[in-house]
Amino acid sequence: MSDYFIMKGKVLPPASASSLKSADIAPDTLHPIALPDGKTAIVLRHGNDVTAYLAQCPHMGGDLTQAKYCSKDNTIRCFWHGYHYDAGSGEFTHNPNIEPMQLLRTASPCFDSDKKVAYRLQKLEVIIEDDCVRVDYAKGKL
Amino acid sequence: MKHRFCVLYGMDCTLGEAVAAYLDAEHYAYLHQEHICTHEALHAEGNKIVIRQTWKLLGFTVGNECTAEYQVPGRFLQYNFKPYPHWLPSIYHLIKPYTDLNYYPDPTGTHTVSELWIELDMPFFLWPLRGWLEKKLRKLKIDKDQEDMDMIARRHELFGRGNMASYFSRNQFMLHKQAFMAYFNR
Repeated sequence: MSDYFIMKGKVLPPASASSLKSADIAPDTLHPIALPDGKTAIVLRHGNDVTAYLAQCPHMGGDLTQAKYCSKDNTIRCFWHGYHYDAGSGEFTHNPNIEPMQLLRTASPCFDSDKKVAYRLQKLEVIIEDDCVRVDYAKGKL
Repeated sequence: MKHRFCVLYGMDCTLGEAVAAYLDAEHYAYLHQEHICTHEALHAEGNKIVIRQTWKLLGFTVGNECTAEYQVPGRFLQYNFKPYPHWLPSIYHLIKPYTDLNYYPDPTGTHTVSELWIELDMPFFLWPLRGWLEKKLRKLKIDKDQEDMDMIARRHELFGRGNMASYFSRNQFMLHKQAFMAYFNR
């Protein structure tokens, strides 16, 4: 028992930068940006569009600063469960776990296998001023 | 020849959260992607599920199939390990593991104890490697649980300790969900 320890989880600190230089936003990459209330958003440039979302997966709360962006189908994929969200609208598009777990996904009193989930990333308004990009959570919340 | 050892530590979460993280199989191939590429259910009967897991090793996709059994509230057994694909030489042709994981509340009520017993049934010529294998398996268990704890800690921060509402949701898939709900959603 001498080497007994209590494992504690590590949570990433919120983003520190509250604005990003427009030129620093590399395309097809998720950039963390601080919100005024201490939360974090992700900013994405795809083509000419710059979009921002609250960095929290609506499924289980995964930190989307660790998510992956897939330019092939323009989706943001959560790091925790791999759920896909359309990067333009924030709408949930696909759960990649359905097929491998199909055998077990039968309806029961506590699981509705046919229920369409309506998860959606929380989209925030992007403000571009003087070549600086910021996201005002309080004013820009859509 | 059988080598048996225990991996024992506490997890800073409730029993329900530790069990929910284990039964939430949809995260295995994503949160634990460094260790697992795919996790697939092949057969199910009662509290037993035959699963196949794969991972990458030297460019090959390798893995295993085993029977995974859940005993309410927090006991998980894994046995009948077979290599996958069967034709590819694998450690599972030589070693037959048996694992018995038990989560239970610490008597102080502050955390959950994770007690994993691993038994490796191996041929005599692998006996000298038992220490190395034990070290590798200890590290694998701790690394995966640390990833789970990071997820649980963030959920504590967002939703509060012990909040499992999203696991109880009807659209959330979990292994053995009815048995889990019957015990933890009372």
